[in-house]
Amino acid sequence: MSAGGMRLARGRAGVSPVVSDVMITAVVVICMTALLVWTVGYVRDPAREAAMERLAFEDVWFTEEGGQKVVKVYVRNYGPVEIVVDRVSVEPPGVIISDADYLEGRGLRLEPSGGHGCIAFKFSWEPGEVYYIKVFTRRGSRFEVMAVAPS
Amino acid sequence: MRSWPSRPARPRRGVSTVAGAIFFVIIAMTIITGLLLWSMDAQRRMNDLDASRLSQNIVITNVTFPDTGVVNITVLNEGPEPVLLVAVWIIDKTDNTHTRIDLEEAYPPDGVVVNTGDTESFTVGYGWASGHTYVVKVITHLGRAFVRVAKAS
Repeated sequence: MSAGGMRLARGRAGVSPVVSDVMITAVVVICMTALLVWTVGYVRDPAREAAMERLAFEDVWFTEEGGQKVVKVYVRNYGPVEIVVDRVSVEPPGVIISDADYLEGRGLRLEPSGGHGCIAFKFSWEPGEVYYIKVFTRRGSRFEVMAVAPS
Repeated sequence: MRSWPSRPARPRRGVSTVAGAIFFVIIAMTIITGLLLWSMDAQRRMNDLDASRLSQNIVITNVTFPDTGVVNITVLNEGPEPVLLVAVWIIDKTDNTHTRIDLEEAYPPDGVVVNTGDTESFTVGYGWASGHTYVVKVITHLGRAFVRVAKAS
């Protein structure tokens, strides 16, 4: 009994520090990794950056080019993060402009604090009609402007 | 002799574990606090940006067409902060054409600066036509638009 007890005690004394060091190392590595992942996720959260997007409409022009009715929307990014234009919708009739109808500005990148550019697309506008033009960004923000087509 | 080596070993192990835990907690708290402060600062900056934009108040007091291809615009800043005018849109209502004139290029590097309470006049190049009605729109660096209608004669 005493010999076995001594053996066990000796074994414990020899293994325990190594095991505890390994456990502490493992726990610290896991916790720090989790903290790092959470930190990176928190900082790069698209919803957080979406909340910092700011887009202003400088001008909306209902015009005709080559016999086709076209709308040109001129936008300005005055926020602190880059904006990428994803798609545009027009209401009425409440349609999302299809890729084939963009003349320019699909995927338009607007630099922070002053980037500006034009989104032009084919759209059969009616003279004197009121339209709500919505610009959706890649992060999911939506910016809207009301414009009246010329009579 | 046999009891001496075991005594210092026990407290050392305990201290290193506690020290490690405290060290980790301090790092975690520092990172979390820093992130929260950064987050609050970012939110405050966005609020300031929105408030600053809404407070902008530019009045276009006069638009004249003094010479062929020249438009003179006079503006008054009635807002509480200086404003940078970065673009002018001239919209010909007679033949529905829209023209953008970049003031950052015409008046580098920032465009036309209008201090609080000041009146500024500046000219832009534009081929206007006599008898046409124009909507003149100035754009600030925060994307606000201020409009005046003028007829060229």
